[in-house]
Amino acid sequence: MTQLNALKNEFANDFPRLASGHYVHFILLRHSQSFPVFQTDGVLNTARTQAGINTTDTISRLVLFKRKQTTPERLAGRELLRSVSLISGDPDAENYCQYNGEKSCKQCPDCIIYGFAIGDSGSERSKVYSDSAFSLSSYEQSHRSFIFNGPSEAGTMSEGGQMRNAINELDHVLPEVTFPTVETLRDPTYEGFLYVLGNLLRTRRYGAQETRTGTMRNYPIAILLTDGEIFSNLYFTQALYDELKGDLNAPIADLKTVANTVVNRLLEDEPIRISHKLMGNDLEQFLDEVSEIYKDEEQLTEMLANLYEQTETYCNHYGAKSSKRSGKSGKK
Amino acid sequence: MVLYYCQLTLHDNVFFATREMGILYETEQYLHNWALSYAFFGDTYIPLSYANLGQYIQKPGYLDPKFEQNLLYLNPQGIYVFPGFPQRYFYQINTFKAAQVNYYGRSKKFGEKGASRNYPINYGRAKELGVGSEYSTYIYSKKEIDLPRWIRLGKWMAKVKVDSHQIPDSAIALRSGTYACHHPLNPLDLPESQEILLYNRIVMPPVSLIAQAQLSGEYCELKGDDWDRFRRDFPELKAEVCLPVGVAYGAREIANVS
Repeated sequence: MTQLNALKNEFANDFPRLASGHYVHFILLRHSQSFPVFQTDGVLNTARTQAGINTTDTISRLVLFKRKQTTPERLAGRELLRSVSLISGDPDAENYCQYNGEKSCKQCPDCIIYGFAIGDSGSERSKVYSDSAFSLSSYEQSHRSFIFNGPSEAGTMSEGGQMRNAINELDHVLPEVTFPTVETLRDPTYEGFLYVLGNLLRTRRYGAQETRTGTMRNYPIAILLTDGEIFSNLYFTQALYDELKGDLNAPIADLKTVANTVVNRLLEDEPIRISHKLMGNDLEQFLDEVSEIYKDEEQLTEMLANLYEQTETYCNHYGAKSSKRSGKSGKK
Repeated sequence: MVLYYCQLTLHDNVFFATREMGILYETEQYLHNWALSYAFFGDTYIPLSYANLGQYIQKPGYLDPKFEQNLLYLNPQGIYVFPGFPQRYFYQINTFKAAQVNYYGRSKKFGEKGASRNYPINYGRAKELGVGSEYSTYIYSKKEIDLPRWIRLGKWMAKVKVDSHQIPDSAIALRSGTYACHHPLNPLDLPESQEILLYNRIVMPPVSLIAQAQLSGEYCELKGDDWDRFRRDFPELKAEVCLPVGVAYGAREIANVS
């Protein structure tokens, strides 16, 4: 637990009321492993962007919107919280927490870390910032149209002489398309940090039709503790594009190596202080240690219970259950 | 006094609900200076609390000292951010929908069974400023400050790249009289001594802006050889730029109250 212990003291013991300059950046390569679908209007989302920072041609890129990243991650985390009975999916239970609804519990780790908004009843700003991710390769090279159908039990499209109409065509993202991403977490506790990281490591499916397709894997490249924001997803994607010099379909192992070089170079240009940087072997070792916690029921339950206590305390002091309503400073 | 010229490049779609038409939400092409002020100084000079509760949540408190996150914190520092002028912008329309825990929630339309409110409960179409759009703005400050390289803007907290450049003192001249300001301005932030003669109105909440204005009062004139040398790297800058002096958050409003 050497890497974990070294990091532990960098975090505060509780969630603060006011935002401060404690940022954790998770730099990832999100890598499709089946045929995900990222669409909002019947077609895959795309945007025209400059290919690289130095390559000024414009290309169309697939876009993985920010909400399509955090939603499955939140749901993965909430599953975990339910599995250890910290929140409940039963509307009659005392610790019932409704996702995206009026009956959010306003005190569980998901509510406090990822935020909620319930009209007049108040809101909690998200401490997790995600940005739209852009595919490294162009839209044209990264998608294919597939016809999907719903055959009858006999495996045919006709049933009793009648043709079934469960057939349609849809654009899918191809496997091994890379979406370079920075996900940012502000002002976490140690446990809050592990919770968000766990969600990144444990979420397997993104986009539409989550039970059929959409498998993706997040490859962490770096974890940084800084006092400010760092480069955007687009900037990271464009810098990688330049560095790869057209070899966009390189295997993921090679991409990781190149991403390491690029991240180090980009960080040199950022006018911020980095108090802790985990990359390469240190990061591998660190992730192994984190996996150990998630594999061990006892450690995991304890970690989540501590986290719940922190978010509950936050809720009682500053959040929805505080008697002194914030929104104005008490002194004025 | 220090004056910065800032180029802003959107690295993600920026969305503000400037106009709401049924389920279509449209973003104005100009960036409001108050939004930019929060984006630039929201966690340095202006306190930013995570929880939003109580009587102030649905009430705009930009210039209300009782509201914790007011803009007046910036006035003693002499910091003032002008609105963002679109140098190159485009739109993208996207549909958004809130997810339910069972991974699939059907959107409820107006008046549909189960839609208990008189507005579409969980989806809509947002007309957003597209990634790659470019803006420019100016920032006044009493002393030199560190401006962030990345800010987050809009309802989706989109990342925007900031390239800031200090304008050399020798390129700035203080003048007084009638002048034309092409850069958009916030009329509530103009002091009483600035008389607004002519303007185009840009209708947007929380305060409509004015553009292409003719004003009378004290102003900063950016002109001459040093200015030409400065703007060599920025082809979008005009040979003569005039900006009002004495601008501060709520300058006109506060003068009227006191």
